Amino acid sequence: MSPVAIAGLFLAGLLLLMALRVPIGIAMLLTGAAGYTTLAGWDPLLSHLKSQAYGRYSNYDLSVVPMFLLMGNLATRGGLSSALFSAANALIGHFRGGIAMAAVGACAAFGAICGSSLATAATMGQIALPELRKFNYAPALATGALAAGGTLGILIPPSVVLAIYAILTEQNIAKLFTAAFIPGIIAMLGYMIVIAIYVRVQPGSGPAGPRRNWSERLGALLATLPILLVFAIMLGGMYGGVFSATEGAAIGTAAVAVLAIIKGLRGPGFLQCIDATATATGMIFLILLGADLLNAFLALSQLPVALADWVKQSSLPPFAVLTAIILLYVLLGCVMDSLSMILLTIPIFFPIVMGLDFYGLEATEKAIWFGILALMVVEIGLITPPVGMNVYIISSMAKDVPMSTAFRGVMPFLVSDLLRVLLLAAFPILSLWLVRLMQ
Amino acid sequence: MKEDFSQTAPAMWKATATGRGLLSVARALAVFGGLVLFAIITLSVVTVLGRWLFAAPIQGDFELVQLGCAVCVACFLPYCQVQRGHVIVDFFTLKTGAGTKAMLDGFAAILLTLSAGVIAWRMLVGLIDVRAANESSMILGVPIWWAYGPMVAAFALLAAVAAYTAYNDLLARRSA
Repeated sequence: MSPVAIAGLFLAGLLLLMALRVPIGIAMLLTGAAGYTTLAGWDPLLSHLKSQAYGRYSNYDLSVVPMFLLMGNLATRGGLSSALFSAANALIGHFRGGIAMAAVGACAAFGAICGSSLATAATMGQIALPELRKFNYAPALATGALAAGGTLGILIPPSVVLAIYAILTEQNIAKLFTAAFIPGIIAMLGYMIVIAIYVRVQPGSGPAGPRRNWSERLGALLATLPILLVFAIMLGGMYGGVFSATEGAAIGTAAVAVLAIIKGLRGPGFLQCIDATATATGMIFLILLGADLLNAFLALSQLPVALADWVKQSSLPPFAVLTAIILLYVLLGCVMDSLSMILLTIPIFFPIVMGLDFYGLEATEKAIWFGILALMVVEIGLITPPVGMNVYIISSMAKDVPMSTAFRGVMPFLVSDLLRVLLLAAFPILSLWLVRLMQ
Repeated sequence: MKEDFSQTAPAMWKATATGRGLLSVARALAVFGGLVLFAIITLSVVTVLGRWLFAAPIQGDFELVQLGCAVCVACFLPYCQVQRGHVIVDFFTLKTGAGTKAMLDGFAAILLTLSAGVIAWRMLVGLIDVRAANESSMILGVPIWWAYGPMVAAFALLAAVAAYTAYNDLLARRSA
């Protein structure tokens, strides 16, 4: 059997292991180990394992991941999220559907200091759900808006998934974060438009809140100033090349820690932050370790190269290939989490995409554009049935809203997601404009 | 603020002395990892400030960040298993009975035990190698095996924690 066929066979085995509830990281690790042994023998594997974990974990860029996770947890437990929602609500809460729009806007703002969607959905859910309920918002709209809004946590930089993509494909993290900014804003506006349409199609589903005067608005906005400042310094410095992505993440985390302490976060609160950060980080790095060994095996088998060559020579239209990849992501997203999908598929899909011509983009720009596209598509998985994690989180908070109602509420937002993917695929300039501007 | 993420550890960790012991060690290691994380954050901030205010960067700070990052994330692994935080695909077993699920989970935990155990063993050999070879970082000359030590301990503990999980899952299967 050729190495490529062996790789195909082992990938099928990997899917089987995953379906049988083996942790994704371990399924990848075992498949990688078995494949590596088949192709190269035991001794190379055993000697590879001596330094593999250290080699994978001691990556300088990778240290942004635990930092961003800690930053998100500090922001959550430090109560920084409520100021964001109050400000957004003071500004737009008096429109029809305005409180749900404010929740989406606050999710986007929170996403600017949090790199994770689940944390964003959970945090904003706690703050915005009571308010939405007070004003008698339709349960489907309230839960749908929050579940979808939560995905902004990862679409708006900083983003853990995007950082991992950058490391896998050896791209510049700051450039990818820059590129994600406009698409993230488009996502937020898209969700707000969905809410505006929703409350017109179903009158009474999203009543207007009270109108605030400008001094109230100004006061609420001022309260968000420290958070906006942290975001501006952190990302401005990264984009401007004043400091590395790791240093930016460290500065952001330290600043958020200071804000949280001012807001009254103390010892037990910090321990809770470490608890939650440890769990989330451990989850990501086990998958990373498994994916690393799996990729070592795949590289040995030459499968990614063979596949990329085959696609290139098949003279399939590039956009047919891209569509197939996107559809596969949407399907995988129904059963897998976004990070596992990126780690599993990028080593295979990335060479394929890089081998094709899209709008005559040069390599770096193509990598950035595809990264943003992939990020958008894998995040859709967070709100698609049957396992949309964001929907789970929100409906576990709104205990009287059945899961099916929440999933129904999320559907219009899914439409907006798909339209946005089309938009970004059709107009790479939306992702690349800011990147070019910064150069 | 309600405890949304850091639910207290699942009940099985409090049921036996072994469970309680593993829980507190895993937790202590996670807190140690957290302190290392705070340390590399502080170091990076000080570097940037030093470079910016006094044009005096700390030499080789990124080496310490690398070592610290490796130690910190490895130390988080056992605690993640305590919280059952490692991601699985549960789509294909949504309608499976509790007994079968517990059996599959127990089987998966055994695989995790073996994997973590083998990695701990190989890393220990790696530690002896890099120590014998006096491998150290380029600029500061920090011995690399300093990072290997806590990592070996973390993977060994991950194996132990996973073994206890497997034992409990298989018990649960019998009672289901």
